[in-house]
Amino acid sequence: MKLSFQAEHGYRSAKQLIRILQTRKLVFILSALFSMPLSAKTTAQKFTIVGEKLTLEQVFEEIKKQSDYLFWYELELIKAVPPVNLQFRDASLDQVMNHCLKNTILVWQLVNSTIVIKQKSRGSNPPAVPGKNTIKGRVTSESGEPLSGATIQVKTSPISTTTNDNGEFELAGVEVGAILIVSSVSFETLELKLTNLENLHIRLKIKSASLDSVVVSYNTGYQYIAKERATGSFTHIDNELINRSVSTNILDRLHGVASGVLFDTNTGTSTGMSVRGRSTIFANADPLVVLDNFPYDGELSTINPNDVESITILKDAAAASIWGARASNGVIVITTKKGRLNQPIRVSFNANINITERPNLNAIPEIGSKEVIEVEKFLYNNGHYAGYVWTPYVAPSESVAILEKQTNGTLTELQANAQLNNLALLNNKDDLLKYYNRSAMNQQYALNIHGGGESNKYYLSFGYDKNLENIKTNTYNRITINAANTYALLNKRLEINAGINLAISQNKSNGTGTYVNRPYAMLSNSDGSPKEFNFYRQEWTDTIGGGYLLDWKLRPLEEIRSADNKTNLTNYLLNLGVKYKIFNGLEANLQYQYSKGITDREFYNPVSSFLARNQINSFSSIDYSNFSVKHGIPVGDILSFNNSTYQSHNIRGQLAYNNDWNRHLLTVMAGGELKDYTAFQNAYTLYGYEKETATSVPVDFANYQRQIFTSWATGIVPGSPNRSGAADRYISFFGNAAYTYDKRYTISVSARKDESNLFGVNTNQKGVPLWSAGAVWHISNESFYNLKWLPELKLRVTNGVNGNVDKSVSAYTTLQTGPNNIFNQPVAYLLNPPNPSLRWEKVNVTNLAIDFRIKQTRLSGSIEYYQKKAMDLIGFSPLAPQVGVRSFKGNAADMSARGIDLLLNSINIEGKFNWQTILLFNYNVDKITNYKVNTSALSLHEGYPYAALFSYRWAGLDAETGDPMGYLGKEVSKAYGVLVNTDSLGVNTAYNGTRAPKYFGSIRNTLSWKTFSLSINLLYKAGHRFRRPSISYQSLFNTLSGHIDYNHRWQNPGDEKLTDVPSMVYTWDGNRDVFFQNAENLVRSAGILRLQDIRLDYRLNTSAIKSSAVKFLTFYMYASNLATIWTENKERIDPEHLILPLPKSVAIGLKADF
Amino acid sequence: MNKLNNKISYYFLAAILIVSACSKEDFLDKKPSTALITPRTLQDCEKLLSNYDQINASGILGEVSTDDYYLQTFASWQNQEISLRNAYIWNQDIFGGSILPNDWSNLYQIILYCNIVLESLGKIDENENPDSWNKTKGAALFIRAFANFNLAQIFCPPYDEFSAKQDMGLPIRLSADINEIKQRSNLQDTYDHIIADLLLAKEIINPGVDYNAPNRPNKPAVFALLAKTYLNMRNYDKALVYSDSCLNLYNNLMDYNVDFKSSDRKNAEILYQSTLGFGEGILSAFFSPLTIVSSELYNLFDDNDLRKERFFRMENGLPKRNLSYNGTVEGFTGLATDEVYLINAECLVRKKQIDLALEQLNKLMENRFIAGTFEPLETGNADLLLEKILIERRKELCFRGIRWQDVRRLNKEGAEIVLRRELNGVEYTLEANSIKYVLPIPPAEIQYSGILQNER
Repeated sequence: MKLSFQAEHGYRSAKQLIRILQTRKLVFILSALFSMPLSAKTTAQKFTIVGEKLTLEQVFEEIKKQSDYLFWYELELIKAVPPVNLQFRDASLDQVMNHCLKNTILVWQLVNSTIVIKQKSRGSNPPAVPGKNTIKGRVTSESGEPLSGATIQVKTSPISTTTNDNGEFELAGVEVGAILIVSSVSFETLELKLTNLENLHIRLKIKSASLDSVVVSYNTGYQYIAKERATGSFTHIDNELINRSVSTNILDRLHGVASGVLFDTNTGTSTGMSVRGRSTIFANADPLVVLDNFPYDGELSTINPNDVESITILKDAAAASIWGARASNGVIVITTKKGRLNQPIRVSFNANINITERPNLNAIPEIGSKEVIEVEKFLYNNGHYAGYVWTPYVAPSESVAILEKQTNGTLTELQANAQLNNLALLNNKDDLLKYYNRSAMNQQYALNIHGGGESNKYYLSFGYDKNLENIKTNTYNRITINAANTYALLNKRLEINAGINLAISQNKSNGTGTYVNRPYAMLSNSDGSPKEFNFYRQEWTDTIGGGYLLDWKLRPLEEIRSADNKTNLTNYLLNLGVKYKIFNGLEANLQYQYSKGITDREFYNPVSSFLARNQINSFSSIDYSNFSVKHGIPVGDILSFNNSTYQSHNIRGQLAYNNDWNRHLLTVMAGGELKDYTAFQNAYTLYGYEKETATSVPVDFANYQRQIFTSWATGIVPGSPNRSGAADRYISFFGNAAYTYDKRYTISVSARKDESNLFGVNTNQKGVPLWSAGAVWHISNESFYNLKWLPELKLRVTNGVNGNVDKSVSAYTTLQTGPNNIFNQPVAYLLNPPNPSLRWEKVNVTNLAIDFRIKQTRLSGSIEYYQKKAMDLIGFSPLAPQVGVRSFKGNAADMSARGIDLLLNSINIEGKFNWQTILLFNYNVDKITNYKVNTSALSLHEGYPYAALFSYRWAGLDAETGDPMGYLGKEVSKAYGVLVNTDSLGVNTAYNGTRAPKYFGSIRNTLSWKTFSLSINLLYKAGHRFRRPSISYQSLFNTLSGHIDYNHRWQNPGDEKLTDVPSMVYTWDGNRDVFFQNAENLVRSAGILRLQDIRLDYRLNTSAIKSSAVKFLTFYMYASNLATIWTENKERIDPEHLILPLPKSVAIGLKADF
Repeated sequence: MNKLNNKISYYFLAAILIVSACSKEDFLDKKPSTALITPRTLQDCEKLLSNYDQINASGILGEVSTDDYYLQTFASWQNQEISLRNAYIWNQDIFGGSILPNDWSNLYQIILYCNIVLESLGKIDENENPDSWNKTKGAALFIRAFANFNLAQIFCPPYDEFSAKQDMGLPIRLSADINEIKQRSNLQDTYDHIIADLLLAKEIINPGVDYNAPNRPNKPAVFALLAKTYLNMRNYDKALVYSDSCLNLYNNLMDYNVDFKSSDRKNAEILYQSTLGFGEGILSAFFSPLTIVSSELYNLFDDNDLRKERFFRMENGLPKRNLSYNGTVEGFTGLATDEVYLINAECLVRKKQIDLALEQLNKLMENRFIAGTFEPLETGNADLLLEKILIERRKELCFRGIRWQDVRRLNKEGAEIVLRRELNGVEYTLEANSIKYVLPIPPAEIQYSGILQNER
């Protein structure tokens, strides 16, 4: 503040001046803390002031005499006020002061016992001065969006005002030639000379992020850390980036935009997502997902992306170790939207429709009807189906039925061939596409209302998703409701927030299967009626059933329609938080969260469905003496349930201290938390169910029931009630501190101790302290730094230890109950022999980073190098077999990993036309450094990556037989059993690289011109290998579907020069197939460049909309999975979609703010 | 205002303290999953012993090493797991670096299960339910003895009372502690341990056979195993006593004309159910279409013998295996009255009780023939009768792991049985009393416990 203040008192003694100065300081602090509403003046004091032409100074002196009030004002302002005449007797302070300041540009305010006089704030215009004018105008962004609350001030004059919600303002007392200063928080301040009095349209330019980076702070789930002072490695995804893509699920929106985050089928995680590669072998590899403050226990699908404000990914030890034993896979902190203080009510609406093309079934690389019939003929001639003698109920396929008829003479060879030829013309993919599949259509609607007053803020949202999936009967609906309120009490020292999130979804999945597995098995007859199949041999069902069983025919088309399978999910989350400022800088925070999720799965199969009829018939026996049927399962509908419920309590107490003085800045935080999670799952089946009355018939689940297939066949009726549960408890203590000196140096430390119910070891062994330390050096803030071309340069270094857990191991002897044995007795397995020295997995992470910004080229970014050493990983160590277990699962393995995360942000062109490029480059490699027990020839080995691809060495095809050949040392071998079961790298097997990409990332270009913006994202992965699928004769013979390589198989001597696909032989040898499918010649490089998505935005100029209610309107189009631009393998196989190509999808949507 | 501030501060601090001070031990003792059990009750112990797949199985390497079958082609031999391939040709090396589970590790796993049960029983109050407590303990002792017996038939030399104290026996494990390593005992101690477990078990175990739960051991099974153990120790006096004890309690025989069925591992003769080998891979070796039954064995069966078509089928002129004794396709290696009858008869004839021996043999065989076609044997010649009984043992008890034991034992008696087979043009033989009748201990055991390897 450059105005000089001066206190005015009746007596100007030195003593009093000191007192005044002290008071002034107090007032200054208080007025900065509290901006009391002007109307809230209260005092019971009465004043009697009578006099004419009193100056304000005189009036104030009188007030001081009659009370203890002090005054605080700017002398210049007071002197400008003309003298007043007063006639007050027993008047209140209000009356006196208001009278004195009437018609002035001054206002007053009572802060404790000090009366503060200041200039009227913006918005309340001084009275029009004669000779001066009133102008009207409107302030908008460059794109025409109205800016409310922008300030318009006349330079060198107290006159100012602010715009209303429509960006409009009126300013009185100005004259032509005056200079107006127009400002708004995120826009560049504009000065303009008033040349005339016509209505103004002022457009402000958005502050460029590269010039003055918006203050970003990372939410760790415990606290916000300013980017400038963060030592750790964070990836921050802001709201705009989250909303760039269109999806039902929140994690999908990180795809291709988050540095260090890999989406790949080879990550081995349940989400398909990994943060900075893998650092565990058998324990949980999923990143921890935190919603606002606490780990999220519910289904991720219940989080509506429209409610998410930002996502922060914690990647290294300094960032994540505050999460202790759950941090080693990285932490993803999702921050939801909240209201804002002093913001008028806002309504936002977002709607989109996303259409995904029908699955391209015809692109599946498998053989068609002609080839399948050929194979069946081959099998038939080899006596493959002679085994039917032993299982008389097995139905022949359509083509085998024709062959059987030819054999027994019902058909001539000519007739049989004609029928087979007709069959070969059919392709059931046409029927599947017609009756079973469709284009998927996902609709998403989200509405939210938010805002806030002086001491409260609120956010209320409603979301509705309706997805029609690409299988006709499958749908997904989701409703989400979120409310968050914050109240500030006791002069804002106390803040209370309460929130509730509710998600309800229903997933219908009736099209679970089609039963048709041969390409000529159509769903419909030529007239469109449902086609009928014999699931069991008709002669057998006719004989055995003798008309006493339910119809046993299968009509796949009806089957798709008859089931009613749904999954209902309800999830709610209640939050309550209390924050209290004990004194300036010290804050206590207590948070509680309760969440509960209920998943009800219901599988309803009416008696008309094949599934029900088949089960009922199977569990029937007929007494042929009197043809009475005994049913193990009553005739009626079958309803199965599988319900799971979890509930979770989280409570956390936390103290935070922040202080800055001179050049020092200190933040300290410490606290404790407790988690109690329980989950239960119940499953049961009702038989003979009647929908109308909801009644069912009891069934004997305990004893073996007769089955109809053979005279001795028995079985247990499936679906006996069962229940299982899990519990997860933690007690944790944590703390961290960060100190910054002179904006140049920051150091941070953190520690956490977790104890859990995990291992069943002594309580004092359950916990382990996990810690981190880090430092930042802001080189560009040093006085000696003078690289003008590099205005910002920052170094960061951290080291620390994160933890991980494996719940399958215990220090006690643990057993696991298994399914009953064949004599129907309850069974337990030995899971773990006792291991009292069991402990957490630990991962030591070192992170080195440089953050920089180059001025002229507007290039900014960061490069980070990290190294991970994972120790005490749960793995197997060998034991002497005499102890009863050959290996022991304990803390026996180690791993190491290292990588680079590079982020470059380049503003290539700026101006009317903008072009920005963001490049993400990630490198990650890992190695298992200690692992003693190999489980098979092709799985984990010490000295190789976790996702290592091992193959059998390939020696080509046998020139005489077309048999695949491998190596045993130097010797070419066809001993498949030996080749497959020998674990000797270099002898029979070879290492072919890793299945996980070493290099991956994206290149995102954003172009904008006027109100259009176009963003294109390219994704790449490289440095890894994959095994392309090929033919397995064993599976071809069993399932009658096979890889298209069948057509390239070795058939005649000489073919071995043209093909690597082995000959088809009967009898098949499973090991021959296993050998070939895992042989080296099928390994390909997996590098790929994908056009991931394109987004086009068009912001409608709201001045063009008549309705003034809409402030902001954007139309957008988003297209994803568009094309594969390049594949490293020459066959152009997409290594991530080996069977069905990824369907393209296009979304259109609109976003409006009111 | 200040007072209020202070108060609120205290509440906060109190709340934080509550979080940290609540009873941690109780809170963190909650089990992470309901499916996890630490064996604490009798039911838990019973569940462990009911683990049919792990418990009711015997070794396979002995049976693989017999001459009752052969593989039709070289290729089908090549496709076998390495230890089976080596055992088939009595190779010096058996395991060849294989990392798969084997007879040694599988049988010791059974012993671990039993030891866990026995140790857990020690922590359960015996007086709460003395009957169940005793039955469970008896079962664990029996199962441990059966596993030790099976181990000894593969990895220890045939018992000889003159050398038993010098011959190497098994590491005798009495504890579940995986950190405790045992060195090998002598063979006498090993058999003493087996017999001691059985003698203790017989006093407390379930007294009767449960037809519906053939996997549960019982008193007749204990006697049967005692008889079988003494038979293999060539102590025919005691084998006679215990086979008598068994048959006194339970002597059912099934008539193959009516009772033999393809079904569910239950038949009237079974005392204790056990199967050959552990897992599918090994079964397939025996039931592959390429496995041929030796015609020497097949031709021993009379045409009127029902076992000929129950046990075998002809395929392309070659006999192959059909159903096994318990009506399934898996190999039965448990205990049953037919074996006890044969032990009884053999011991009787060795004691020159020819009439009694004949009676027992005829009683058994009568039930195996087409009704009315069996002509009871009559002879006064003990040697001839013994030969008959031994042939009957080979027929009745084929593919039950017993042929291997008999060859070892009978060669000790001087039978001079030489096993021969041909593979890929090479002839292999196993001379009588060869040291190759003792299989080597898997290398992993030698590596990690340092116990002494068998000479081979």
